[in-house]
Amino acid sequence: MTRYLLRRAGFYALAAWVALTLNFLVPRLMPGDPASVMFARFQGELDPEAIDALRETFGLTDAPLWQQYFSYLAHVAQGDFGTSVVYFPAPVSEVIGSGLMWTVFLAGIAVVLAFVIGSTLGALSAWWRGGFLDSLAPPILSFIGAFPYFWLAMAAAWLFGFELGWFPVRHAYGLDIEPGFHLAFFGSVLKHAFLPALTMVVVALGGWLLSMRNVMLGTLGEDFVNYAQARGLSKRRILVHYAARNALLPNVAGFGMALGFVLSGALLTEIVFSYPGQGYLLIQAVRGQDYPLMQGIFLTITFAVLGANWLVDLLTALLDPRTR
Amino acid sequence: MIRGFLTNKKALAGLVVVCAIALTALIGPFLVQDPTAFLARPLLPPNWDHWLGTTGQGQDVLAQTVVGARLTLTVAVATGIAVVGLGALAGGAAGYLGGRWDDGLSLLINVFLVLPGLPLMVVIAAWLPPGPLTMFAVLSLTGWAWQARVIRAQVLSIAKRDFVAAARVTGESSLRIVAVEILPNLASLLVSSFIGATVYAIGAQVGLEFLGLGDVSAVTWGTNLYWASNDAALLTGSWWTFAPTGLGVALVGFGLTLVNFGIDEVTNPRLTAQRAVGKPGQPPGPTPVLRSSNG
Amino acid sequence: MAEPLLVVQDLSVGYVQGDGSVIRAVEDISFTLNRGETLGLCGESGCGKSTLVYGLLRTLAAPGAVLGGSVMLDGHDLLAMHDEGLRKLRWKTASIVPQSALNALNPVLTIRAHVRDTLVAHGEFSRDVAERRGAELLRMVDIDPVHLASYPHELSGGMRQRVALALALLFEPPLIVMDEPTTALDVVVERSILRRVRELQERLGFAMLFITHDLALLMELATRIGVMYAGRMTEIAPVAAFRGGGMHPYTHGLFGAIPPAIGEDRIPTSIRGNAANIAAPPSGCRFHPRCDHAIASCSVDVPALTRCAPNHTVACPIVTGTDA
Repeated sequence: MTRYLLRRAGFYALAAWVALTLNFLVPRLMPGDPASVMFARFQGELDPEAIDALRETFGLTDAPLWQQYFSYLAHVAQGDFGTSVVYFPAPVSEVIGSGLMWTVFLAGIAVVLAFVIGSTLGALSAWWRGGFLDSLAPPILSFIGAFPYFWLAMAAAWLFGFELGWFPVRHAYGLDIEPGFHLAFFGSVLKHAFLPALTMVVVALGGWLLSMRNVMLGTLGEDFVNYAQARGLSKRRILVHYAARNALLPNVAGFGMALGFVLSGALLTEIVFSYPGQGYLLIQAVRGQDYPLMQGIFLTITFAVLGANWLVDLLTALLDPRTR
Repeated sequence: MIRGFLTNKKALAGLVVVCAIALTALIGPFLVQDPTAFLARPLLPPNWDHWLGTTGQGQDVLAQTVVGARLTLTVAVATGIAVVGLGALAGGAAGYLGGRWDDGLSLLINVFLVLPGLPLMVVIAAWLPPGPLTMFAVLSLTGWAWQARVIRAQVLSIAKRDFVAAARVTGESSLRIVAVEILPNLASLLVSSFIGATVYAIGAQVGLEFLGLGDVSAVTWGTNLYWASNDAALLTGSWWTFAPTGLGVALVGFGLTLVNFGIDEVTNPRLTAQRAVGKPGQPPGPTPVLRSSNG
Repeated sequence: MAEPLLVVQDLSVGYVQGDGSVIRAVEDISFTLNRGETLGLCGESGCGKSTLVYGLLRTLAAPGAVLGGSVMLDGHDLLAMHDEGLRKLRWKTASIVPQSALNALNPVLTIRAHVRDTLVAHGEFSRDVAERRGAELLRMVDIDPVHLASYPHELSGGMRQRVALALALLFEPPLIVMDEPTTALDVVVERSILRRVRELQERLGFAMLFITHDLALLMELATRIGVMYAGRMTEIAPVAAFRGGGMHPYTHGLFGAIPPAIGEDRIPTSIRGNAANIAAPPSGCRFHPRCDHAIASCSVDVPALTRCAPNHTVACPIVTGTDA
């Protein structure tokens, strides 16, 4: 098991290196001088020495490419992603840090809930194949799943926020509440997270349901289900510990893979709700042509996804004795 | 197989929806008002002159929705083709050549699969001049890995079969083996990959344009939503500025997904083999006893 | 001693097709198995021997269905029983040793969990009892009880089949179905397992339904042998009656196909033609297209099982001389 996890960690290290290198190469492969594009917004705001310092951070100096590359890697390794334009003069790492917890909180809850609920519904659909749940849930949820995340978020914000006034549609907590360890704050946070989380869960549900249903239909035809029946095991035991437990394994592996995709949807959802996470920062960066912030967000989210993937591998290893 | 496909209810329903929208995108723009002209007061709710109301700039929402479909779907289809092409190239080479080629390509595929798509697209798109070509390039570059993975698995299983092994032993050229033995067996997967890639391209494109990374002066589904959001559709409660476009996206996506379910069911009978015995909705249980009255 | 344990009459089992039509894989089978006896069921692959046995125990997976007849096991009318009654009866009156224990055991559960699940299903919840009984059973089949903690994939093929045998003995049922339990193993392992099976049978007195295509093996192991062809019983008699090669032309063919023992002066022969297609079986006697003795009426009349000696019945009018 340790060897398996180490091998996976090696793979993620490689993926992280690819992301870092892409991040370095993309501006340099583009037409024009990346430095002048990147710092166009700084003109007049920064004195030339400060701009030179920034050039140094991004390795956009006149040095040979490989020297630029190592200078860039060294800065990233120290957590230095440069200075934000939009939030000038705050360093990018600080700006990102302020929004990271919110994204981890919101997207984390939504992704896990969608996976758990979707897989459960998928398992039950396959178990009662052709029954009530199986004829209703898959078509309805795949239709909902066809909507863009942020569009459903807009619809939900309009209906439950604007028309019905049940939930707040902006920010992560009421602006009249002092953040801290008290109930009013937590209540406000949950209330603000409800709609964004709901729309993310609802969109992602159909995908998990269908993939679990399909795997489960195959599992129900396996010998070990039949053999369990022959031993007189209860239906409940067979459903949970024989069929669903085994059908879950490929889905957990798929969970890691889908994480990046789902997170992309989560970022757009944050924008609709002005939720102060990475997505909201991302749109600020795009609007303000804040390249340092954009790149910082890309790297941060990539590292977060790789880390989460490794945790999923750990889970797989715990669930499936054959990988140990 | 094609007959089975056309008698499949899901596939047929999906095909009808997709064709209807494709037709609208093709002919519709000649029938509606100028989507960029400022025709009326901003944010008019749906009325007789403007069936779907007007935008925050006083443009006709119906016209924008219909005209927007054209560019969005064109880019999506082009991306779908490119993604399947790249995927087939990478996945096919990995699966067919095997060995070190497979190791290297699989690693590359897996790395691109695990990198989060949207932030990567943003980082690339932000450096390029906004427009459909940028969109096409960015979506193709970031979307190929998933299809490559699926195609690799399929090619790997075909290449293992006896008739391919036999062709290799008898010394047929690789080109001939790929064209005659492998491609025909890959056809349905390539079609469903293309459909899947197109659905992905619509969603990702609309998302990027919503972020403002498209050409905001062009009329596409993504920019429609970008402007709806910018013009404070939510704060003014003008649902008609974003609802029609979203429905369009969802209908195309759902229609295409239905077609893919249909293909899946026709080529993969295990999914359709209804439990013919006993009542539907019954969990697995003892073998049923069916005593026919005449025997 | 000759007390009937299992009485099967006119049993038909089949598979329901997607369009509602039925493939009758097993037709009108009748036999009786006495307590402590071993009935061997023999025939080519696809002759319906497994379908027959799983059908009569009602553990045939969908789309299988019992199409008619009656099955009395230990005084219970199996075909009239409902889910829960049948579930409680399972494993206590009849257990199964499957062909591939690797497929029949749940890959994510330990051997201990398999023992415990089965005990819990029949009302024994104590962990201590499960531990003790599990260890005892493994010792009975020559496996170190430390393997209670093993997962199926960690055991060798022979060990897995032994574990399956141990599980079948859990409640010491009066009937154990052996579904080609040693087909996948090498001869040395097969011998040692079958020797243990025989010893256990002498000690515990269970009856066996032994499915195999290996007629030579049955000659050593069985009390009686039933030969099946294309879903019908062609001949059923005590082992002694088969010493001379049996009476039915198909039985002759099967004996002819057995490889000669060392020193035996004989060339193995094969039966001409291919096994009958069970979805569209030949008319009359299903064996007639491959039979060297067939006469015109064979393709018209379905031969009845006819007694030609005490305990010996054959479904062939030519050899029994009942041809009109």
